[in-house]
Amino acid sequence: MRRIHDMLAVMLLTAFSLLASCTKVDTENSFANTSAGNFAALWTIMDEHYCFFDYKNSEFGLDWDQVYDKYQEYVYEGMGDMALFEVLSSMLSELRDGHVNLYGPYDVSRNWSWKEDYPANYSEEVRDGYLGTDYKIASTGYFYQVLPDNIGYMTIESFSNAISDSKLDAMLHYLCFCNGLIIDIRNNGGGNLDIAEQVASRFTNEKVLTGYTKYKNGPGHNDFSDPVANYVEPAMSNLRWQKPVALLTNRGCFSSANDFTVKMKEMPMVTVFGDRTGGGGGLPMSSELPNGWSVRFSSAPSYDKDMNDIEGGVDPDVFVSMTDSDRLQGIDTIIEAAREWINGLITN
Amino acid sequence: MNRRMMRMKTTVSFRFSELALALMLVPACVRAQEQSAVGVMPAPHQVVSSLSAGVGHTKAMDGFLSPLEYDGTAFSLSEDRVAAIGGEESIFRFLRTHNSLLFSSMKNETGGGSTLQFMADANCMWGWPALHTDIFDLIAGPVAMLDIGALWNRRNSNNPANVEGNLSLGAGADGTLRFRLRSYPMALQGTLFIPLSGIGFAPDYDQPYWIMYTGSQYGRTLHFTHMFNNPSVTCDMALCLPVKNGQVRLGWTADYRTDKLGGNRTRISHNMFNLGYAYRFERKYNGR
Repeated sequence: MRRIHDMLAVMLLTAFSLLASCTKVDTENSFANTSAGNFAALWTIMDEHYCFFDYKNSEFGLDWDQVYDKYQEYVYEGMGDMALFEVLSSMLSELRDGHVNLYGPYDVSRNWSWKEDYPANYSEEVRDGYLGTDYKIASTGYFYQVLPDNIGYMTIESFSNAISDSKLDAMLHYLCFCNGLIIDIRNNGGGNLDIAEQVASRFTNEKVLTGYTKYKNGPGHNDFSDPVANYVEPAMSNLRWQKPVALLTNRGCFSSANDFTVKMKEMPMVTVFGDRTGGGGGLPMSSELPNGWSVRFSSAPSYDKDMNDIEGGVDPDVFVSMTDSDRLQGIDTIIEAAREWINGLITN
Repeated sequence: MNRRMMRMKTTVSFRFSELALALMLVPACVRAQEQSAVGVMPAPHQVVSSLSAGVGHTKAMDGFLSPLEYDGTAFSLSEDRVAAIGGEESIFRFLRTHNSLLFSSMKNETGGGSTLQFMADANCMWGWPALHTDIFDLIAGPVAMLDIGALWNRRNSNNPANVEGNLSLGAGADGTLRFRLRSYPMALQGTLFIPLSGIGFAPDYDQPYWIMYTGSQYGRTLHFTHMFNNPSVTCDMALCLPVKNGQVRLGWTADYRTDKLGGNRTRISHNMFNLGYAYRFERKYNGR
């Protein structure tokens, strides 16, 4: 009996050893690191995770299966990396999405048609004329000045640059004697949603529903979660602006600048001037191809409070285009329209 | 070309160095069995408390972060305790606990991305003597296992990190084989933990972290786990060399954790070689 027990002990330890040395027992989906494998991996990643197939289909007839058929003909074994990058980039460009990028060793693919295909409605040189030389700098890209008709003017060039609450307080405190405030976010390509929300929280005294976000909860093109409501809470312990606000936008406003516009449109006393924003209403995620290239794509669609998709941009309350004659004279048509609106409110 | 190019494959692979070591240990065990037959060693249950430092190899694939597998070097600190906690007459119960901290730095096979991993494990096994001979003791029983940690993909921007977390109940076994090499008494200890069921954390497919909490949808991140969606195993082998009043422990730990929760597959494995010291060592048998 003891002999049997001892034999059993040895067998058990042997089993332990074999289990311990086992490093991989798995059933997996995988793609080979070949031209065809990388092409298929990219197509599948987008197919299972990209969030705007239906929206793009309704906007311009995107059919992702047809895209596969179209571009797979250009893929062959032995093609060079640069040629493969070109094919994959072209395939992604069919999505017409500024949040979709392929990061390879030589280049970053991008789609900037949301900005490049439209009038700029912005001139930094003209804008600098309004700021003058004695403007204040709250943080990188956060410039502010008091215009001659006692209207505050501030720029937010990017939401990638953090600004502290104390600096926002100082800026609003400096401008608090102005009759109104112009916030210029033209050509703001986005950044951090939290910063956009932090700034927006200075323009409301109560909690405001500003929109909704869904996220992909499965690989199907229509696998989405229930909408999650987005609110802006007032910055109760900080300075909050109580006077008219003109927000200036153009097609260069993308991603979190687009989201900021959605939020600000719901704030009391805020009117948006300029052009439609560039969009970028999908929160991006990243993934990788077998060859190590990285891809970024929109994964979670955002909506305004009426559940309108904001991927294609947000209309201003007042459309204003910058005219060439004004620009040549150093006049910003959109800033002037905003000043006129604020001055009109004061007069009335 | 097949549209999705998915190759469903099932593989079982072994790390050759560890397999070789395992096979080398088997003859040693057999020799020990022969020696113990002449009654060289007493047959106590070991009560051990030890600290170990380990270095080894880790692999990780987290579908929320990337479909690519990352591998690299891991470092760990672990504490193991086996304590007799009472019993009636000759029946003992044992409490075996294992706590460890692990850090690893990994790259994908193309070298184009890197990932850092932090893990903390705590296992607790309530064991009963299952087998007892002159040279071998086996305790077995239920195990509570808590694993928590994070993977940080340094390349990703909007989804840079993912939390790993599992609280499981499972089965465990701890065997100790005593033998002599020449006249030097030694012991070979092996443990095996297999989670059977529990709760696992995972994002709901592509769920952003801010939505989990600010959107009050954190409930979707907790999943019931079982052997089919969370097959995992942890093994530990240690050669115990008595030194004065303690033990030097040479061993290796291998764990393999995989799950498919929330639509994302996760696969993490570690193979760690450990050097430790048992800072408290007692022998108890039948309460004496």
